[in-house]
Parts: sequence; C-alpha cells; structure tokens
Amino acid sequence: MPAGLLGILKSAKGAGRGQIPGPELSRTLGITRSAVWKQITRLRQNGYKIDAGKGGYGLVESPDLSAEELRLLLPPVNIIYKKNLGSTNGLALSLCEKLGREGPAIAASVIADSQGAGRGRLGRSWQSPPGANIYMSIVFRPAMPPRRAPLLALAAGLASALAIRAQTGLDVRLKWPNDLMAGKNSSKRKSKKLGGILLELRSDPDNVLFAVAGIGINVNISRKDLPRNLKAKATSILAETGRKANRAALIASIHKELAHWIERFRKNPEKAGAALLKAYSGLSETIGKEILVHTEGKTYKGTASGIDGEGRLLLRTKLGGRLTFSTGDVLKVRGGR
Amino acid sequence: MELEDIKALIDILKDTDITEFQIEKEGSKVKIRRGRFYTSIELPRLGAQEPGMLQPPQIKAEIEEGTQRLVSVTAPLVGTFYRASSPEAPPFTEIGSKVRKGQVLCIIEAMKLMNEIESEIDGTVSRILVENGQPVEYGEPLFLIEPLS
Repeated sequence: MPAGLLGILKSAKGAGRGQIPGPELSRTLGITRSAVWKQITRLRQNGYKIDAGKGGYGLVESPDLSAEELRLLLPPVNIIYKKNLGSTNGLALSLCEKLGREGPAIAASVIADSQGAGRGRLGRSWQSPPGANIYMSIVFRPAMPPRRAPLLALAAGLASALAIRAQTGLDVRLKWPNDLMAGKNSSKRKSKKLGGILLELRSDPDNVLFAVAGIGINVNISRKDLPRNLKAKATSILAETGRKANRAALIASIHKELAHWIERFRKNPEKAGAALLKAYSGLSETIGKEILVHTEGKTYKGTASGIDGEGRLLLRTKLGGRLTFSTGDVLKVRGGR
Repeated sequence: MELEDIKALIDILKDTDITEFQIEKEGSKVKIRRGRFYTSIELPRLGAQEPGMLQPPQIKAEIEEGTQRLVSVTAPLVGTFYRASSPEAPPFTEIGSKVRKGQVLCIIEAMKLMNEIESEIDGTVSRILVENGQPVEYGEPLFLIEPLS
C-alpha cells in the first residue's frame, strides 16, 4: 500500500529526518527492495517529489490532491479518485446499486482532478480543467422521506461553506439555495461564484435511499485562467485570498462537516432541521436583500424575507405579495446595509 | 341542484381556463375541480339536512373517464416538474410510451436537488397530468400508467 510507505516518508519529513535507506524501508514494510522502488515510482507518477540519494529516499513535496492524500485524510469510506472522469455524479450514481442500504452516513466518495462532462442544473455544463479545482460527488444515506430531502441541498452548501471558511479563512457566503459565493457584495460590486452544488437522489416513495452531492469548487485556478465568459461571475479561492489551498485537506473538511449534519438528521430530523436553518441563515447572502428570482421563463422581484422550514425561499413583493420558491435562479443580489 | 344543472356547469367550464369552481345554491354546494383529465364533484348527500347536524356529511364522487385501471404516479416532494433531463434533451416518456418498473418518468427539482421519479410498474403511459416546468405539490398526481396485464 502506498499509504504505508508514504506514511513513513511523511513522518520522516515531519521529524526532519530526511532520507530513509531503501533496506530500512523494505524491512519495515516487509516487502522487497524492488517493490519499494515500484511504489516510489508510482508515488512520483502521482505527483510526489521524492529524492533518491546515498541516504535513501526522502519526501520533498506532496501534491495537494492524489488518491494517497485522500486515503490519508478522509474517513474510511469507499474512495474513488480519477485523474479525469466524465462526471463524478454520473459514476457516483452508478455506485448506489452496489452499496448496501444500511451503513454509515457517508457511503462513498468520487473525486476527479478534471471532468470531461461536468454538469450543473438542467444539463448546464460545469467547466472542469485539471490541476486546480475540486470536483467530487459524495454518496450518503440520509434516511429521511423524500419530501424533507431539499434540506440536504442546504446542508451540502453549508458544509462546503464552513469547510472553506475553516481551511482558508475566506468569508464564503451562500446564495440560495447553495451557491458558494465570495468577494465583496455591495451596491457597487457583486459577489462572485466560487462553487456550486447539485444533488441527485435515489429514493423509493417513502424513503431516500441515497443522495449524491456533486460539489464543484474553484480552488487554485488563477483569475486569468478562469473561462473568459465567466470572468465577471466566477472566482476562486486563490483569486480571493492570494494563496493556494490544499485540495485534499479541503475535501476532508467538507466530508467531516457533511457527515456531522447527516448524522444529526439521522438522529433527530426536527432538531437538526431547525439547527441547520439557523446556521444556514447566518451565512446567507440572499436573506434580507432585494432580489430577482428567475424560474421557468418568469422573473419575480422582491425582498428575500427568509427561508421556510423546508428550505424554500420566501419573497415579499413590493405590493405585499408573498411568494414561495422551491426552484429558481437568484439573478441579482443587491447589496444593502 | 339537479344533475342536469351540474352537467351544464361542467360543459360551460370545459372551454375555459378555470380549474376550480364552487357554487352554493338552495342549500347544496357544488365544487368542481378540473385537472387536465378528471373532474371531481362534491355534493351533499340527499336528505342530509337532518336536525342536529351542522355539517352534512359530504360524499366525494369522482367522475373518471375510464381511469379505473390506471395507476397514478404522485410527487414525493414539492418542486418543479421536468419531463426531460435538460431543456435540449428529449422527454423521458410520451403518452403511449411503454415503461418498465424502475424506468425514469420525470425529474422533480427542489433547490438544485434532482429527484428522478421511477415507474413502480411495467405498463404504458396513459396520461401526463402536469406540464413541463410547472410547480407540483406533495402527493400531486403526475402520470397515469396503464399496467401491463
């Protein structure tokens, strides 16, 4: 297992020990020297910088995302990591058939360095270049009736926002329902989209069997590398903070936050729902603002007055009308206050 | 109110966009709700004006146009009804399509959560009760499927 060898090299690096002799590695791991060499080669192919000298092997630098990094950091779930994949949600959904209905909150996780056919809502595409961003689909078992499931969309958004905030210090906010937004949001300047989330369910009429949360986050893509047509609307963690973030650590943090909320829902759905809405509202950039909601060819204008118990957006129009939305694009969020 | 009057009312409503209509006359209440393919009528039972009964028990008569054998597929959550995976894609099913158990019939979206609704039986799509892109309520009938016999 690369993690065994990698674990030794990492702790040696952490302890400032430098290089470890090949014979020592083969003895500790109980494998031949040529097997050690094979593993070193494989790690190098996966982005690890490893020096080989008289003193043995020494780890110089780890990639910020690799199968090995994910296995070291993530809980012991089924992890599938691919350099390139059509769509992480597509593969994750096909896994559901094979996963048992009972088990821990998080069942599996599909992560890709790049996607050939990343998708968003209603067949919209999601640009997914390699080497910079997060494209992942987390398969979980929420154990709740489908009619409550929309709250999971808010939970996935909140978990991602909290993880990015914790890992990078960036002031991430949520645009209803779960767009991850960053940057100043005022009357002069609008916040930009950092990431998006699309959930897909596998359910029978009474129970959600699996939910797949597809999460795409712009992490280390530079401002100049953002697609030209999206520059005005999109941003990245690097573009906002000026620092590269470790993707594997971010992914691990999102898993931890999401597992926390799903477990709360499995224990006490009522209490979890109330706590979720409270935490979510605290990070919302939509609530209290004057907005336009676009859905199915119509646009509605008003003030976002809040979120109801099922996560739907409440809009108060100028004439005092009250509208409730379960779908729609919030087109414009005017800053206020 | 006579049966003839009710029939006349239904006829008048047929050519309009009115989906729900209620009239109270001479102590009887008639409520007509029009889905695309069914009409339901609630009317007080004959001789219901018994003393001491504030609310006469109501019977619900559904006039179904040969739908007895059909199995309805209902919305498991509130959201928006889509007949295709994207605006450019062809619909999952049309009227007359043969469907298998587990085949996807439509998607209901709520808050960027896409719920694929599958057929629970083998059969033929007989009616599609909701227009693409329309909001649906919890429990609202979406499709009528004629089971394979």
